[in-house]
Amino acid sequence: MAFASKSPWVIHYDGSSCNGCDIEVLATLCPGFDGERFGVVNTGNPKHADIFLVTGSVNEQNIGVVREIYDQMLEPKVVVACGICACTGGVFHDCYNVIGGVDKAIPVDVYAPGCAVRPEQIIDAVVAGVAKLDEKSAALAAAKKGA
Amino acid sequence: MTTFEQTFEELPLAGVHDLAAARHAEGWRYVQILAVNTEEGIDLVYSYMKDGHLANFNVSGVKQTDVVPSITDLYLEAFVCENEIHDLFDVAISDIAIDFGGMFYQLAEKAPMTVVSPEQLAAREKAKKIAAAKAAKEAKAAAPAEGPTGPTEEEIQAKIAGLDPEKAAKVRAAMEAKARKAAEGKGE
Amino acid sequence: MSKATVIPFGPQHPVLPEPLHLDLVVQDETVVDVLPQIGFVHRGLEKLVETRDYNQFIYIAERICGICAMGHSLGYAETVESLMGVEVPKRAEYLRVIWHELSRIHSHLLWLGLAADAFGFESMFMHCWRLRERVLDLFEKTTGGRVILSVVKVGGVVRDIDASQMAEIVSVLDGIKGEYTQIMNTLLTDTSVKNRTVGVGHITTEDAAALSMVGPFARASNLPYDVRSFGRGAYGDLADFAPITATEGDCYARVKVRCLEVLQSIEIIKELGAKIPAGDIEVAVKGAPADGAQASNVLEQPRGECYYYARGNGSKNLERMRMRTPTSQNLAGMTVALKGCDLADVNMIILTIDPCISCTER
Repeated sequence: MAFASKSPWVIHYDGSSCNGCDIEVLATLCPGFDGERFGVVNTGNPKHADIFLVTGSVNEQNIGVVREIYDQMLEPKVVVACGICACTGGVFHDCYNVIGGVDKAIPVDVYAPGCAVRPEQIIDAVVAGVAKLDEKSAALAAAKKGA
Repeated sequence: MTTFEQTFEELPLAGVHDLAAARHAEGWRYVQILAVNTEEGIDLVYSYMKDGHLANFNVSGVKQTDVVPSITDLYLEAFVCENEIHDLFDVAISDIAIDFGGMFYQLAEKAPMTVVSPEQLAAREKAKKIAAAKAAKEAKAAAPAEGPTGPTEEEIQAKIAGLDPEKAAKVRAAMEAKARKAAEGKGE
Repeated sequence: MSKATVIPFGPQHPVLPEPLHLDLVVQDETVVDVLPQIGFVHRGLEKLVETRDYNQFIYIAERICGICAMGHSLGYAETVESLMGVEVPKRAEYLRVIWHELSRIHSHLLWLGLAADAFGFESMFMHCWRLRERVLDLFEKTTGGRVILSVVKVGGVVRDIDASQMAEIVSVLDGIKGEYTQIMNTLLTDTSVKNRTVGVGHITTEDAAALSMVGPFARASNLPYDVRSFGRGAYGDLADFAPITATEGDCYARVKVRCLEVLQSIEIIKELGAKIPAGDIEVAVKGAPADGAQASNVLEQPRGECYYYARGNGSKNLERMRMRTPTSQNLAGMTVALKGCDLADVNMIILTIDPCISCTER
């Protein structure tokens, strides 16, 4: 197992979410569901984060912000789209200012639907993300050896 | 306990700033400004509240060429609604205290709330046609003694005589059924 | 004379649950000017009235904001009922208020946790959210959802709370009350908390009135405006109701007002739970709003007064639905409070207005 997946640090950003999924993300890290027992820590710095939890869809104004946070993260990194708005745009998909789900801005690795997404699903999604993190980390190490 | 009541009044565009000044002097709170996209232009609704009385003032039919005076010199917090109305409805508002110049919301399209989609347009046309037909029908029903508006009885009979016998019979039966129905309707 | 620097704050920031961008003009460590920039959460959902009829739009109205979801569905339903002249049964009014006050408790506990986290008091954040989980469990037991409840409809409510559930609500709230009071007293009497909040972000009563501020933000500056005092719906049946105010006008006062409001809401729920009348929970609503009919409505959300407006056009789709949130009203007040503060206090001041940017931008 790679170092990162023993204690994946997450960074959370709210695209154009209604906040329902954001408070469920925070609730996952609180004593009710205690995501922190898996070593998950919420950081504000993209350079310290392994997993990018995005909630909400992207609109004209925040598509640049989402891309910039993703670009600032270091490899290997995983993106988890929390909530149906982040997956496909959700109930707002036909609004004039909604471009779509987060995959319109950055590549997404795990989709966790729900309105609002339940903390159990977020934990599942992070665990799935951690498995992907392991894969990417192994691939990166192999590429380094090969080069 | 103060009781809540709401009122709606009309307001001319020229009176917007004076109304705000009057309300400010009397100690009314500013509540909000909203805009509605209508066929005749943009309607603006200004709301003020004092002691449980919510007074809404409707400015009808503001055109693209009209310039609305800002009330942020009296009520600074109005800048949020005024910038939003400018961005979403393309209404020109002058002298906003904190003016984002169209960049309050960075939108993909200009004045999106004034955009009427093709489906919406079709639905509105249909609703208009139905309403017009209904109005015409009611007008007709209200004035039956004004003389026949359609073809006269002789003309109809002449037409039927000229038709194929089978078709003529069908038309006659339909006309009789219609007359029966009209009689029943009148009898009610 | 020191030079002024512009420091961008947000939209991604660990203390902000929502994206808000501020350009802080700073001289040494003092903020001299602030320019807010919002628009990151603008979805444009008010236009969806064209494609969703007035019954379907309630699902959109709830999702304007996940924290105030119950409030928005309630305000929207009340506005459409006012537009169509529908009178809701008494039991439904009581149920709506009970859920709305529970929503206020969860929102204030959420806010208290975030505010504590803003100046580094992380264990307080964890305790508040731990207590909040019990309220969310109540939501789940009575409505099926933790955050988005979907329990209000035009004409009443969708589900009932029976006597055993009501007894459970009361006992859970009594349980929360004991622990919550301990936490609240710790927060309000602790020296470090006082050092960070007393005298910070002061707004006078005159400024609060001039800027038409609403909600606990205004009540902390001694402006006693609370929509619940109009006594509409089930609020009219309360034995007495007085808005909670504080006179200091600084961050400490805002924390105090919200803390005490949680206790007030617990008492309101217990009183209404004991008085709730039997009867229907909904009334059938047929037809559509008349062409040109207008209705407006105000509601006391956890963050303040929220204004709703609806206009009909004769069809099942509303012509216009508009919602003006308390935070958009308080933005001017926030800008004024931030001027002259220390850079380290910016977090605290922003959080004490309890910003809900997704409501503001819809």
